[in-house]
This record gives sequence, C-alpha cells and structure tokens, in this order.
Amino acid sequence: MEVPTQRGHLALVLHAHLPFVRHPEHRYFLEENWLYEAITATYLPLYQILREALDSSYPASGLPARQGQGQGQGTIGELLPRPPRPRPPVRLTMSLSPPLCSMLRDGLLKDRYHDYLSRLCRLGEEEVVRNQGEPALRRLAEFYLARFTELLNLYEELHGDLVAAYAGLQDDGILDILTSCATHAYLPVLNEPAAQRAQLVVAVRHYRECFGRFPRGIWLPECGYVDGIDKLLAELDLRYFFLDAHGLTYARPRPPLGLHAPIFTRAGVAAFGRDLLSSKQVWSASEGYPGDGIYRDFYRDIGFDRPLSVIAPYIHPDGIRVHTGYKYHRVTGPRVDLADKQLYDPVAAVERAREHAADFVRKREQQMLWLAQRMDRSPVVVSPYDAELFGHWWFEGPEFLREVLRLCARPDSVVQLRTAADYLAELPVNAVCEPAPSSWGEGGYSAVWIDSSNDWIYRHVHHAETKMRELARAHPSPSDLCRRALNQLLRELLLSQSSDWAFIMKTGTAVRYATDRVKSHLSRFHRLTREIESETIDSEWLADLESRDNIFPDIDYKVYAG
Amino acid sequence: MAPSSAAEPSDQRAANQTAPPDSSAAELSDGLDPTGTVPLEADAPESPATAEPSEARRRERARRAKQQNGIAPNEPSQMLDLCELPETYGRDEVGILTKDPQWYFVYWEVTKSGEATAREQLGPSGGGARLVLRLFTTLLGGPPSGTGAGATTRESRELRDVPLPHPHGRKYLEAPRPGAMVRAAVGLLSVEGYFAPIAHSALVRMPLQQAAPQTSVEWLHVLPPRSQGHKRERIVAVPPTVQHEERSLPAHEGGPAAPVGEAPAAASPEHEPAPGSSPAPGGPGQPAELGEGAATTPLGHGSGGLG
Repeated sequence: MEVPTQRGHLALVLHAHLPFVRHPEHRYFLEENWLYEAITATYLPLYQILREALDSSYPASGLPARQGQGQGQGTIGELLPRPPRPRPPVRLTMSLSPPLCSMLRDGLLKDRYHDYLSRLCRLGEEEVVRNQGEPALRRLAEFYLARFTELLNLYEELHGDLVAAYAGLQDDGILDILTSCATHAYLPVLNEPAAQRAQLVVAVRHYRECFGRFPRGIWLPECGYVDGIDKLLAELDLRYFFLDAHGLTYARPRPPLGLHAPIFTRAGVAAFGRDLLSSKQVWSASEGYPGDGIYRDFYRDIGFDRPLSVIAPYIHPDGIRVHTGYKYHRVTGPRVDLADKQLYDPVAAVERAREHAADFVRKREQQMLWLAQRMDRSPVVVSPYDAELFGHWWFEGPEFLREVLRLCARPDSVVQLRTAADYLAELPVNAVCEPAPSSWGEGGYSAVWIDSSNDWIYRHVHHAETKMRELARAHPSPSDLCRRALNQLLRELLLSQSSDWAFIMKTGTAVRYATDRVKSHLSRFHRLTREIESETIDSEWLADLESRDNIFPDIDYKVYAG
Repeated sequence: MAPSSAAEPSDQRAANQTAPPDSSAAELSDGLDPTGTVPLEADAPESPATAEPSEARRRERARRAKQQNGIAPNEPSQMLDLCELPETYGRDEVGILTKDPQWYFVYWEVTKSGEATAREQLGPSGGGARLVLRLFTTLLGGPPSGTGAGATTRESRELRDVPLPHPHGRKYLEAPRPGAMVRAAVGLLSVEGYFAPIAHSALVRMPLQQAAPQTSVEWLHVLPPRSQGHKRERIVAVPPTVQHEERSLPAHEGGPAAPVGEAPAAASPEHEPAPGSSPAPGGPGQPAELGEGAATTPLGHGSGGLG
C-alpha cells in the first residue's frame, strides 16, 4: 500500500461541558436530566467508540491492560515493566470541563443516574409490550431497550466512574484531555485579573485530581479570548488553546500561514484557529449532516406523545412532560410538522452516517491536498464541536465519529487524525502573533453574553470579585470555620460566573432557572460575606451549603489573594 | 447540550428551537390506560377547543403525580437562599465591557457623597452641573502621517460626554471604530464645561474586525514537553535554529480575510478562497530575531501554587 507523501493533520476537538446542576434538596430535579441525557446519549457512547477504536488498533496482545482492569493487585504482571505503548493511529482532543467532571464523579448524581437509566430500561420493557400490535414500533422499542440495557451494563462495568474511564483513554494514548475554566466562565466578562486567574488555577488543580497529571492544553469557554489571557495560561504551563477563525486571522501581525497553522503568543502559548468549512459541514442547520431526513428526530418523544397515565412514572413528578429518549420518528424533511414525521429506521440511519463520514474525510483530503500545495508544511485543520452534538442532538453522531476514526486509521489516509499537541511536537516553530479578541458565539464576539437579557449579571459579579479579593487578602490566617466560609464564598462566586447562565437567558430556554441560579449563588455570597465580616458564621448553614454546592472540595480561597 | 448548551453554534441553536410537541394535545390522544391504573383527569377526552387543561386540573394532576412518586411535601418550593440582589452597592464606580467591534456596555453607580464631592470640586460651577459619562477614545491605525520608511501610524483621541439620567444604571454605547481604546469616567459636567470625575473604568480595547496588512513576523521555537504531563514543565522557547522556508515564500494574493461567520477561504478546491485568508504566506523572509521577551527561558513564571 502506497503511503501518501502529502498529508495533513486533522485535529478533532470535542468540548464536553454542562453547568454544575445538583439539587440534593429535591428528590427529582428537572435540570439534572441535562446530565443524565448527556451521559446516555453522548459520554457513554463516545467512550465506547474510542475504546473500540483503540482496541482495534492493536493485535490482540499488543496493548497492555490498564491498571485496575483485568489484573489483580500485586500480580507479577503488574510488577513487570510495562512495555512502551504503541501510539494509536488516530488521536482525538477532548475537553472535559471541571463542572462536568465534578458531576460525573459525584456519588449522589451517580446513584440518580443509575436509577434514571434503570427507569429507561423499565420503560422500554413496557413499550415493547405496549407496541405488540405494531411491529414497526415494537422493533424500535426493542432497539432502544437493547441500547439502554447495553449502556447500563457498561456504566456498571465502569463502576459509574466515567472520569476514570476517560482518563484511561488518555493514558492509552487515543485521547488528549484538555481542561477548561473552573465553572466555564466566559473570561472576557470577568473584571479582575484575579478572577480570570482563579478560574484557571482552580481548573488546573481539579484536572490533576481527576486525571493524575498536569493539563497541557485548555479549552477557553466559548473560545472567549481577550488580551492578557495568554500570559495567565503561560503561568500555568498551559501550552495551547483554541480560537474561532477570526481570532487567528485578525491577529497582529497577520499570521503568515493563515488559518491552518498555529501561532505563538509572546508568552509562548500556541493558539489554533477553528476551520469553518468542516464546522459548517457538521454544525449547519441547513447544510449540515444532522439535518438529513433519515436521521432520528430529537423533538418527537414518547414523553410528549403518550397519555399521562402511561408516562407519568417516567416524567417529572409534577406532571411536566420531559424527553424520555424513546423517539420513534425521523427528521423526515425540513419544516415537517412533528405530527407528520415518519418512523425511524436505525439501519438506514447508520448507513447514512457512514456515508457522511466518508464524505467528511474525503473533503478533508481535498482540503489538505489543496493546502499542502500552498504551504511548506503540513496544514492542520482544527474541527471543534460540542461533544453533546454527537449523540444528544445528532443521535447518529457517534456512529459518524466511529467511521471517521476508522477511515483516518488507514495507513494510506491523507488525513492524519492527531492532536494539537502532536502538531506542536512535530512543528514547534511558529510565527509570533497577538490573537484578536473573539469568541465562537453568534456574531463572533461577546454579543451572546452581553445582551439586554443578561447584562444585569455583571455589576453584581464584578462586585463579588472585588469583595472576594478584599476578604482573601484580609484573612491570611483564618480560623478553621472562617477558612471554610471563605472557601465556600469562592465556590459560590465561581458558580455564579458560569457562562451557561447568561447563555440560557439570551436564548430563552430555562431563563427562570438560570436567573435563580445567579441570584442564589450571589445571595449566598452576600450572606457569607456579612457573616465573615461580622464574625458570626452560622456553622450549620455553612455545612448545609458545603454539602449542596460541593464542587471543588479542596478549593483554596487564597487563589484570590495573589 | 440540552437546554443549557453554552457552546452550540448559532445555526444549530436555531434548528433546535423547534417547538416541542404540544403536550396537552398529545395527552388527549388516548384516554385508555393499558396498565389498568385509574386514569388521571387530564387523560379524559376533551374537545380540541378545550385541549389546554384548566389550572385546577393542572394542580390536581400535579398533586396526584406527587403522590404517585412519593415526593416529600417538605421539599423547597423555590431555589434555596434566593434573594433579590441589591439595587446599589454604595460605591462610586463605572464598569465597561466590549460587546463587539461596534458596541460596548457600561454600568455605573454614583453615591450621594461622591456627587457632593464632585460638586464641591467644581466650586461655584457645581450648582448647575449634570451627571455625565465621559468617554475617552484613542484611535490607533488611522491614516499614516508622513510617507515611505518614516511613516508612522497616526493616533487620534476623541472625547464624548453622554448625559446620565440616573445615578446608577447600565447602557450600550457605540464605539467610533473597531480596535479603538476606550475608557469611561462618570462625573459632573458644569455648564462652563468643567468636568469633575467621580469614578473611572478600566481601559478596554474594542475588538478588531479585519485582518492586518501583511508584514514581517518573528518566529519562535517552543520546545515540546518531555513528559505526558506527569510532571510540571515550564514553557521554554529558543530561537529557531534553521531558516524556515515559509518566511521566503512569495506573498500570497492579498486583501482582507473573510468576514466573521462566512465560509472559510482556501478550505478546499470546491471553494474558491476568499482573498487573503488561509493560507496567506507572509512577505519576504525576515531575520530570525526574537522579539522582546520571546527568548526568555522559561517563559512561564511558575506561579499558581500548583506544586
């Protein structure tokens, strides 16, 4: 087989993030379903295909077993030096945001998720019986039941620890896991440098807890960049980040190699720019693959279709209808009314996903060959997506990815599926340019997060940032109770800074919830401030807060004192 | 992701805004309960005209559903610790954030004591002074002054006063040009034109909206890390040891880069490249000279207390 002389790097970057939503004070909380749906539709399926891609890359005995799997403690096999791992032929980049990792590792949410998935299986069993008289629907119910049962088994096999599972993929070389900001704050709207820095420091520490190593790259939330962020990244030895295309093409001076090579900032941090064509092929509502009529429709769901008497145990206890995951219809066509959707055919959809994957890889080949003729080095096409696109919004997305991985793993593939770190290791000399302030939000700047629907947030958050700095500096050696209060103060501030709240307010999806979250975190911040300043800390209430907003258990408020 | 996805590109978001199925209508599609349990009132057939259940029926349905699912009656009815946030903070301040290349957002608060102090500063003129937002704008990159090698980029400054009707609030203002540097001050402006500042904002740079002209660039060699992140490694840069061909590539056809949000240039043979976007090799080769600070080793200052 002839190996092509001209090759290009494709850097697929999957950004996995959800805001921290955990409500132990409620037995059922609607917004917690965001996590459960995403685990089911995206995080478990992505783990499956990455594990499969890894296993299929080696002969049966080629890859040593991972620690803690397949070998007992202290066996001779563990005492022997591990043979050097061969490098997988395909490598992906994935960010797992700190709030997401925190939720995936949380005992309460893990138990609740297990119950959720078990309920889905029970619903599937009921659906199979209910659809006995309609073979097409029964087959679909059986399809979902088999799928959810498989995922439940996988979740149990992983002991519910998806973070450890993904860490294993990183250890085995198929994945480079990025960190993100502590609570996914959009850095351009934070006021104090200490606030930006705290988001990064807390994230890096948390990454070490989760993955047992230092992160080398970061996904800046919303690709939000403003002057000075690169220096903060360099302080933490974060070597690369990602910008939307214009963050790189509008850089000063003009990047000589254009969009398809990284730049270095003066601080020595590399910035990679998003390739718009490959993004559009997947993202675009009108032209993107997920809009194909064969694919499963997201909105038509039996949670809305079935009579309440049937579906009540599987929706909100107050009778609010929710998505269950049992969706029997396909997109059918543009602007087709939900009632007119046709039945879904999983086999045809998988076939179409593979065709789309082949088309995607073919277009990358053409793109890279075209670029290679105009560059004296391998181009890098950076294609970042929300991880939740694959599976949650686009049900067949994981199948698409599976096929992309397979095609790119061929020895004769022009498209080399690699990470940003791989590219920098191979091509460590790059032009020095100052990235342009930008984001990947609508309009390319901050208009999503600074809008009449959400701009009321910032004055309050900025005040809290200033107060946090003042209190951190005023308490270099606090009592144990005061230290706990200061740490909780920082947790509440960080949680109020999540970019998700402003985004939700702008898009009008769960506005009440987002508004209440910002207000409640800041209300807690204000009460804690009063109690710290007056030395009247309510230890019982503090303990309650610590148990509810329990993100970053080892947080240190002194990060704000620097 | 879900209703909260913070990073869902706009076109996909639009696609996802399709209305969910009409749940009330769906509830009426089947009044029979194959499980044999007592049907809820909402499941009883209704005429299409009354498809939306009444409030009383909603409450009853919720009550029954709660009973079925064993929800504790003492669960909080709203988010815990939820309070209204303060209207004011008792601080003189003005904050500024850039929204996009054309617009920026400001918020301000002026206390009574801050206003009184400013009035005092104005002396006799203070009586009729009014509250304004004074905007200081520095425009860089205007038409160059001079010609040839001695040409320098012109820098101009603008000053604008915006009357403020209230002692606290928020507002959007238009920037004179992308890339401008803007600072705001809130203060009192006398009828004679004297300005007494009460609070200043930070200095912000409006985002750029076009590619820079092609000029020479510096090159940097950042040594790749030796470990896989298992130990901390600072970012270390060294001067490039070899001349790089890209620095001697002929200049690419020039012109501005593709506007934000448009299809990328030079992406595939199927798409004609937009002028000047990727790849856009730079001008003639430049000496391998590192800029100030670029060759310091290590670049990272190693703080952060990550030990």
